[in-house]
Amino acid sequence: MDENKLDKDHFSFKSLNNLFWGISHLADKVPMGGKNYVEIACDYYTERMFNEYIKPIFKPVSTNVIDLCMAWLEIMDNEGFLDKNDYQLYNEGDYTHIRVAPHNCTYFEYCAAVNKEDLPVVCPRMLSCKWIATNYAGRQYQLKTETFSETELCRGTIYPGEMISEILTRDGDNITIAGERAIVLSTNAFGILVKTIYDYAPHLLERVLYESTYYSSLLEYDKVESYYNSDRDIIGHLLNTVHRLGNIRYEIMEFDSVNKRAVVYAYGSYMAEIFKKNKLSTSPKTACASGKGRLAAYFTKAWGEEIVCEEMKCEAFGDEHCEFTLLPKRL
Amino acid sequence: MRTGKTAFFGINGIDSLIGEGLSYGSQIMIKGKSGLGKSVLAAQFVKETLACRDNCIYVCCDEAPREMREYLKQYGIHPWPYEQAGRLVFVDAYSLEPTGKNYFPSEDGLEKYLSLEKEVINGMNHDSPTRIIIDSLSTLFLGRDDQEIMEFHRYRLKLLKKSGIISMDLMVDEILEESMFKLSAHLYDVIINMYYSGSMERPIRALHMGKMKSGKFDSSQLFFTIDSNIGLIIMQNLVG
Repeated sequence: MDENKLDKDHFSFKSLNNLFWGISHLADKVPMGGKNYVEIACDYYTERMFNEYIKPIFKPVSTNVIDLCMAWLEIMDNEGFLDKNDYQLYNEGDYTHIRVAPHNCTYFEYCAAVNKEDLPVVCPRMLSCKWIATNYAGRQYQLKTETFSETELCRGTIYPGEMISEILTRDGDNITIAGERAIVLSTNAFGILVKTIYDYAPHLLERVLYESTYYSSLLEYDKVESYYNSDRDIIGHLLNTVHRLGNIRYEIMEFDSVNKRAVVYAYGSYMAEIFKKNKLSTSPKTACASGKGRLAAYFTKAWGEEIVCEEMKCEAFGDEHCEFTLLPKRL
Repeated sequence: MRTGKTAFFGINGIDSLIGEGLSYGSQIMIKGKSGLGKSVLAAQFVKETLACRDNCIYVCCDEAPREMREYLKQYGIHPWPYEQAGRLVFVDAYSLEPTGKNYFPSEDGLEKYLSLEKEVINGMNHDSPTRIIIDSLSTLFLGRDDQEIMEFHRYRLKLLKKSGIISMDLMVDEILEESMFKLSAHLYDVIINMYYSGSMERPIRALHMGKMKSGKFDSSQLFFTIDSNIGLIIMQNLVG
């Protein structure tokens, strides 16, 4: 055998990992990218593989999620793609928990690499289980995974839930975000819009920015509320969406749902940029009325009472990040 | 402490009259009858102060701090985080019983008020400038003799100027003799006089900057209305 010739299996294995690595990179770069892009790519991949090779031999004993997943893993095991003994599945009500020993996994290199680079990642194995469940159990399922660790079992949960339609998509001549027609504005165009309000009705500007974001954010919360089980997950998802739109990166620093207090940092505020560029205030001051409106709306929905937001630090003021404190109005 | 910056009221229309803004150490008198909107203007001034990251001391003479806190919430500022951060301090010069360390019993002399005010100022974070509002100074002066008032007044404002603190004193027309206003007017850099204009049947709120010590500010008459969420809206702003 020619020693310089690449081992075919090894080459295929490397190609698969690098292909997924490429998808994760792309998902991180495209507007509104992120985990969902990787998930959609994986779904298409599973669908095609399943229909071309697996479907004729797929014989689950029932449409219970665990039986469906086991039938799929059995076939993959028989074909030599995995060792089914590396997988543990158990039910908890409607939830199916999956534990996987990572070191034998085909996708170990991919997961380890994207985890190190902090790129969007999904577990292709668990996602294929989710795909099978959705297509054979007669309802939609979602997958939630815990952060990958090279030394511990990979953990995920398949649970009933609709796929969140949130990605920037093209619909004929239009683009849509979460199913609604979207427009893309440069900060220059948005700045001119804001400046015009300031020139004609300066007393209204803060109110307009606050309320327009507040009320639209209430609707956003309603749209995703049913997909998650905890208020923190819902808010995390919504803030992540804002980040994926390229607007602001939020970081929840404190989250006390018992006393209803939170502290959120924000990086890269476009409002701070617009305020400074268009000279929308007489002296440096906190500028993120829309950020306040967004957070007040999300936390009001999450905690079931009127929550107000104060901006304690702001990039418009030269601070390295904006800082928002959330608390009940009644306090 | 940040230097070189100037301060504004946070009310478009008034701010455009003061050009480059007020220097720190400026003294402002807001004068007018009850119900004209002096405390609303003060609430907006608090909001502006905190948005500019300055410290704020609010001396409550006409209502308890608890009511002022609710009032501030109405105009879009929740005082709690700022109080926790030590950036907003209320002095209670209203309640009959002591309510905390920043309590001033109205029967005490003005000298005692001065020492409390100094103590509160010294306790503020000196990385940021401080603004102090007395709502209303005329209530603090009630029942005191003219000489005590004038001595206190002169000494206090001189001290605040020296410390670079912007002071805003609210004065209710009916409480003090007009002569007291005249006597103290020269101590202030800016006086905003609020009054009713128009007919008896349809009065319109108006204000003008009655006195600008430096003479560098415009003293146009401004008509205004009060919105329950925004505060003072200068009508000139409504027509562009």
